[in-house]
Amino acid sequence: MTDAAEPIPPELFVPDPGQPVQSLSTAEPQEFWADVWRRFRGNRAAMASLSVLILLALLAIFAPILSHYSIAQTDLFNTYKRPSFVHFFGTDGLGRDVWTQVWMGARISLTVGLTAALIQMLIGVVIGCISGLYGGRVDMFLMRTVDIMIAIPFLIWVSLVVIVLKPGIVSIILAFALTQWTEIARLVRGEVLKLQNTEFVIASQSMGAGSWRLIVRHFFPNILPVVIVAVTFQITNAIFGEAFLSYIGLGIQEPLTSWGKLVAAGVREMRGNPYMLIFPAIAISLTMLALQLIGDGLRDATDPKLRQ
Amino acid sequence: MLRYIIRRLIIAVTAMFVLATITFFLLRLVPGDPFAGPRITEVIKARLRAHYGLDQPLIDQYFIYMKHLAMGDFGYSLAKQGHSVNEIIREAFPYSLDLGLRALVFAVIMGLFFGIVSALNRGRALDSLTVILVLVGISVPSFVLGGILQYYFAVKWPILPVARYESFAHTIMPAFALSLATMANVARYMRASMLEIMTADYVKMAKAKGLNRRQIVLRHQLRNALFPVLTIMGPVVAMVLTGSFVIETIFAVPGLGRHFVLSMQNLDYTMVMGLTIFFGAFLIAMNFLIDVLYGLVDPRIRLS
Amino acid sequence: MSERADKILDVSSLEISFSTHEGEIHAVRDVSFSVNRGEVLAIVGESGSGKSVTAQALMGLTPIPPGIVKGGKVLLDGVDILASDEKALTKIRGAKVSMIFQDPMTSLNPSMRIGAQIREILHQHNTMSRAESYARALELLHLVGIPEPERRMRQYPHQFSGGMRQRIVIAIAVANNPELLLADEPTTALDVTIQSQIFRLIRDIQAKFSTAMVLITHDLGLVAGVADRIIVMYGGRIVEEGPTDQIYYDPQHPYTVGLLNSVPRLADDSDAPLRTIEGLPPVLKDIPDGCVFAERCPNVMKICRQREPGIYHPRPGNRAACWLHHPDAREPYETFLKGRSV
Repeated sequence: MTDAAEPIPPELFVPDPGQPVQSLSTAEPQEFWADVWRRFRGNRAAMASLSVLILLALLAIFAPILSHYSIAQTDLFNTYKRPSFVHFFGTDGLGRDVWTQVWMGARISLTVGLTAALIQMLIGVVIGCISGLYGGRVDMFLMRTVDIMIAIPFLIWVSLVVIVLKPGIVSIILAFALTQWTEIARLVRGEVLKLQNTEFVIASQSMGAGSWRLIVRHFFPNILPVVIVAVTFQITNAIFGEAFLSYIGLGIQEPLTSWGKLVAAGVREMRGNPYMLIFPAIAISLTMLALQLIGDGLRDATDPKLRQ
Repeated sequence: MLRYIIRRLIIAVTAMFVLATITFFLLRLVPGDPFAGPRITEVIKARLRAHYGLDQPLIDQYFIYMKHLAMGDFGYSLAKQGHSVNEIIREAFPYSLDLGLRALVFAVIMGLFFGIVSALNRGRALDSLTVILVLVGISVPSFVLGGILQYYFAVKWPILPVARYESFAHTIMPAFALSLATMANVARYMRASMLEIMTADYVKMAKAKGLNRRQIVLRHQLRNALFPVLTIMGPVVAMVLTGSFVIETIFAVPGLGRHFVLSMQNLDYTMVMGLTIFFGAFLIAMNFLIDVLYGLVDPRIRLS
Repeated sequence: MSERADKILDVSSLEISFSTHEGEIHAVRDVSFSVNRGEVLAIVGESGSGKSVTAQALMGLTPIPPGIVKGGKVLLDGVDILASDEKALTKIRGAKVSMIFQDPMTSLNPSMRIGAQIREILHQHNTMSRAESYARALELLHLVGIPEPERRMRQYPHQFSGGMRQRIVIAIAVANNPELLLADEPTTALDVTIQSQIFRLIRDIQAKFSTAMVLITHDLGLVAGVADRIIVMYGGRIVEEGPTDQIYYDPQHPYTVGLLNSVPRLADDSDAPLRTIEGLPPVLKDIPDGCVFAERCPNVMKICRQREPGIYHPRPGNRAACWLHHPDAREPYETFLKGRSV
């Protein structure tokens, strides 16, 4: 079978060495983080969650400033008012504006969550690196410690520390930071061990790179994705834990407020004034949900198996 | 297999030991004298001093404390004067156990069910339902959920009893509220596990053997998808246990979780320590059992 | 000899694409070939050439989302695989046609004893008692060279080495005496020292039972001793097909020549650089005009970049998709023949 209808001019049958062949990949080397962002962008749930979170953060920052009311401001003539244009979320038993309270509470809850998670990250990364890099007895000791710490549920740990340090915002943050770094330490150690055995590390060592340079240039970019995902989930735990402690009275103390405290009050008032529960409940649930979905999205976006 | 069990056992025992030591020293860290509260009478103080050896040097106190623990004596409550922690544990534990088991069984069975069903019906109704369930379960804190359930099903529409733990009807709301977060996590995990296995080579091989979908799912996918889920059973039990603090408080279930919360609020330090050690030991023991179970089930460990 | 009854497999104009979020990937384009009973056909090509996708399609195993069968027929002993429903296919797979998969570490169910995995395929397509399947499974283990079969039957995959696992996979594949055996890179994932052992096993079994076989591989050096005919695939198309001897000694397509040259030989000067074909295989997203190999072809002509080559028959039993065989390309063709360092 020869070719189709049109006759082909014979001049075309001459050698045409033409363009040099590109021996290497023609695809542009995508910067790692640009690639991660691209994949994250494609995840609709994660992007929606990110927008929600940004919105909540903005409200937490600006809503109390822009509000006519302060959180301490009581108005005994206007107690237990339903939501209205004057009070978006209504008022509580002392006439305080619930809207303002929810966003002030947001500041506390979010700050606690973020700070605790960041400190945990620092501790966890340092310990994970030490454990992975030094190995041997140090590693064994640290990992056994982690095993034992993990055996105790986090709420118990946190409660214990808070009792000893007296309830308050600082003790809550410390309680979380000092006891929940274990997950991150384990993950970091795992990555460090994996990286230690890669050829490029051994190669750079043989080329004389000192261990600090090694750590900074090679380990961090590889550890960071895993750590960021873990930190996102730790923020959720911290927010939940703070809410729980405040709910049972061992968390944030007066005059500060937090979502946990508001929910506790709301549960008490649920019968007559459900709005007092609904708004803080929605706020905290949305935040937890958004963080979880972002964490999932980040995990998928940085998963090496899914990269093209 | 034997080596595996022994290793796990050593870790478990060490963990209990360390836990007890930590709680002992934490108690000592509380600023001021925990035994000097206004409500504590002289009689009680004398008894406590004798029991804990408070006049003696710290190291002796430590050994006394550990000796008591080894014999199963958890000390005396500061708030419920005259009652020992052991007494309270004996009374309250059965309630917690009952509630916890109901919640755990429900959460695991329903969680597995939803996880499997949603993986097999991707994109269809059951999958969406599962997704919603999971989203609610992981975001709404248990105390919020408990409060809402209580309001709607006991106050607004008086179908179920609002609190206490006296009949089957009483168990419904607390068990459900306690199980939701766990159910969501189990479902999520199982779904992910199933989906991962769906693309496994041995599943393709099963198809190439001429097996139909039902056979492939039942014989090849399910068994292998369940393994990884077993590894989260430890955290699952822990989740139910900590969830019980809140749920028991909301629904006034006279269990250990409620006692723990109350003793924290009352600053009943000895009670807090005693219960902490009890909970910790319980979890450590549970984790050990789950590890052993996993070893029995996974042929790779069983036969080495 | 070319009666239809002799062909166990007849593929015509097979076209398969995959829809990804980067666009449609045309993995297999207008592929046609056939296999006679008892014949061994080797399909050779680089990764991305479409050979594995073709193999999967032969059993109807193409994952349908994201895969799309855009056209063609696959007649297995007269039955059109692509038009059959799942129910009919489950009767054919494992009985009339079987596959040996590439990676023995992952193609066996880790939580099922290997005896059970063999007996599963037996019970699926035969009515036998458990005693009968037990005996047959022992026979099969013996056939593939697993020592102490009674003890090994009750063991789990992780208790076997890679080579032994692949033997088990082979045992499963031939359990029901299929008429066609598909071997998708059966030795690629194995240790080099084991590769030839396993390969010989496959060859011996094929010879013993006169099973027709389609052997997929990227290694042209491997198939010399076993294949009757060879198909060379590139960019989703067949670029050359012919009897084994002819392909090795008288190749008619520049890509085939490149593949042959790239196989390192013991006689080569060990200091000389390894010969490769410059460039990378195409991605098959936007099909270029002209021959898909043009970019990397050392004998490329102007026409090659403009139009897809037709199919020519420069030797008996051979077809080659290359403009070099056009009557107007005599000089370039001479250059090509001289340039083959065969």
